[in-house]
Amino acid sequence: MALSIQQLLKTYDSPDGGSVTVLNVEQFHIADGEHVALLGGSGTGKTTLLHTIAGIVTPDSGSIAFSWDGISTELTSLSEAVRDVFRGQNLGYIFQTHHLLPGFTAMENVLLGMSFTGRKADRAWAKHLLEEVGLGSRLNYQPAKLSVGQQQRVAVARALASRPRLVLADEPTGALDPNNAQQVLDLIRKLCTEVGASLLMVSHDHDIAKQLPRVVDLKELNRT
Amino acid sequence: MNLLQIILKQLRQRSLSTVLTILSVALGVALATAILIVQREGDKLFGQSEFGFDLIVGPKGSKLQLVLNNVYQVSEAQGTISYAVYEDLATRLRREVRWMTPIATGDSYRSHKLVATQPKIFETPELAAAREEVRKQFEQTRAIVEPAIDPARTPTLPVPVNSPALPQLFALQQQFDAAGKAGAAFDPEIKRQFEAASKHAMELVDLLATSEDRNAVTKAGQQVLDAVGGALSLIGGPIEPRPGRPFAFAQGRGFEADKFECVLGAEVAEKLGMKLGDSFQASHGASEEGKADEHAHDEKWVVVGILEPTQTAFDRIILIPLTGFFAIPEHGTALEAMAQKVAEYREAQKAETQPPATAPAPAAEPAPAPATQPADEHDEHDEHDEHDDDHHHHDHAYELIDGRIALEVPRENWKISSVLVKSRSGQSAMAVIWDYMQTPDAMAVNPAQEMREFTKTFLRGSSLVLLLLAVLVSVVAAVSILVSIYNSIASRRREIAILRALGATRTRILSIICLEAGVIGLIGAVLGVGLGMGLAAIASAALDKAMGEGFNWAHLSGGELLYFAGAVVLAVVAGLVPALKAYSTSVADNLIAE
Repeated sequence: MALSIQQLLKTYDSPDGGSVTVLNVEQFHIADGEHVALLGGSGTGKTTLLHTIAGIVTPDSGSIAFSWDGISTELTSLSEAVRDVFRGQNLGYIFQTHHLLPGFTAMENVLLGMSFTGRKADRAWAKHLLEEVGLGSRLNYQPAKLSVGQQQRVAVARALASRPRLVLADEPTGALDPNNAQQVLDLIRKLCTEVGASLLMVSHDHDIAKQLPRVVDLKELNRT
Repeated sequence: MNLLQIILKQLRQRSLSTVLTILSVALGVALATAILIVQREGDKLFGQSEFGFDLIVGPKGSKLQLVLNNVYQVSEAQGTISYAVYEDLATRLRREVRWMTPIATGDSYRSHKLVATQPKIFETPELAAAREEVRKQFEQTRAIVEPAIDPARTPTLPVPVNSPALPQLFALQQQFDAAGKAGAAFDPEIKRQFEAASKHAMELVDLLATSEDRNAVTKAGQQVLDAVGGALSLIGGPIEPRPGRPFAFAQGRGFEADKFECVLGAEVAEKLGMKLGDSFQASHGASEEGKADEHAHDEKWVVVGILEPTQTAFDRIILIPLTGFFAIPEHGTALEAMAQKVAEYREAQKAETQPPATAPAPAAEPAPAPATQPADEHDEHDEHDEHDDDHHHHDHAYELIDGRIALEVPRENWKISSVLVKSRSGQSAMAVIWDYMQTPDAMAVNPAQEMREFTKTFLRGSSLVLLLLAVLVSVVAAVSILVSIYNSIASRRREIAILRALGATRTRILSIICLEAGVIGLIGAVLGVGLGMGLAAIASAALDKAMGEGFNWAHLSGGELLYFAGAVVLAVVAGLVPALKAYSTSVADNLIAE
């Protein structure tokens, strides 16, 4: 799925009564199936950008358009409820911290990723994903029984569970040691390729970011 | 994962709070269910119109006590009425009566009441045949007597000597004797009615042949009709504790009218482990289960029959013949005073033991039968209550001739507790009730009406208060659902945000929380209904123990199902408050917050 952003503006009210611009992106494009890294440190608006692309945050103005298989959708024209459904069906989201539901097993957390797609749960696909991330023997482990690296790998599997067309990854390796970080990055790329999803990953780590085919400096992209 | 799986997972995460909330719902629903079942079934049980009889004639006093005593066999009889009331019903009010039977109580055996009545209470082919025979007699009597006393058809008095009425009346009178003997086996009063009919028939013959007094002829003829009609109402039936369900024997047969025989209710036989041929001595008043009674009567009752269950209080009693009851001296009018004097006497006689001069032969062992005692020995004992100081006072109310009781208590001293009556129609019942309102010593009540009044004034009022209490408990339970889920929302904000990030809409989140409350309500309500039925079962068992009649606690009707549904809806509504809080949870803020 291709992503095209035009004149995107997002501001927040500041405590002193004024407003703070957190996003000001003139133009940004990802081709269908492309893997792109956004490189930027903290406070550069990378999480807000991903939330806006995911429809979690509504921009003040601008356009966020998705297109695939001859279909195109302008996200900002959708109601909140339709945006939620669109997100569930087309987007996968990987958070910096895993954000797994504590009372659910690894398998259930992955299945949860399919629960709001309107499609039937595919246990075989969920199991395949967990095997791909090396947790085939820990399907019924709850997050608390898994290491941080393993938890993040479950989160990767969950993001891919709905066979998304675009995966948004917010510092997916930020909480991991270099060895685990590399493994997780490799898994994300491998699985995105497997399902044919585009990938937009934000990271402050140059070494991680440069492994993707295209790296965009967030400072240049977001002119706040 | 579907919504229900997600909800159940969430509930399991907060298992302690979930269980406690479910229990609070269950408690409210259980209380309400039990109250509704008890109220409904209590209405049915106590307000039932399904009595085999629609009138109870008894001593003036509490109508409710008369009904409770006769229908549910609880509490002591509130007094006695003269046996003449029974005779009066059989003659003067015979046209209003389909069937009736006298009841006398006062003794018990191991906490089970002995209820004295007549053998006609047990419907048998022989009784049905005898009833048919009496019916024919009555029709025949009408066919002969009515024309004989009708001035239009018998215009001249005295009638000519060749009038066919005279030989017909002679023949009829002969039949009365035979019918009376046959009927006596079912109710000795039938024999007395036919004896009266026979006597009046002879008077009528005499008057028809010799007198010109039209009034005297009419009166004698009417007396014949009343007496035979009375016999018909006395043998009417079948007598049924519940409509269409006469007494049936599981084992044995009915007692005979003049023997110390008894028939056990189904529960008595089962509880006391008694069988045919067993015998026991009853004691006066309510004896305690398993305790020997020092005031036991000498007479031994032999079990000759065990009844099938009737699902009424009759299952808990022992039926005995009325003649046998009258034969026990303590059942006289001066009972209370006498009991005191007997106690004093026994105290005084502790030192010297004197064997009884004439002990009554047990009914189970009729042979060798004691010889008829000389009349002069008994004349002075007819009034048994005059023999306070006689150690053998038990022996002188009757004597046994070939194992059969020959009563020596004059009829005018016979007392009974009540008469169970099935009237011919609602109008007949009203007529009898009205009639006894005019008399000083007896009253007639409709048991169904009395019990309806009782349930209306007592049961419904108190159960309404309890039901309000149950509603309050349910409201508290709903509030506890609200508080429990509301508190959990605070700690579940991130979970909610994650679900939203995964594609759950706000409405979906609202549904999840409301359904979560609904599931708590549903599980609690299901448990509550089960628990409520259990409570009702306990109440039924207690009632069965106390009154011999339980109720159908396993049946749920509209009221309970409505409360069940109401509890679930209330739970969902209680879930709305936290659900709205979850609905407004900010996704971005809660995903970022660490």
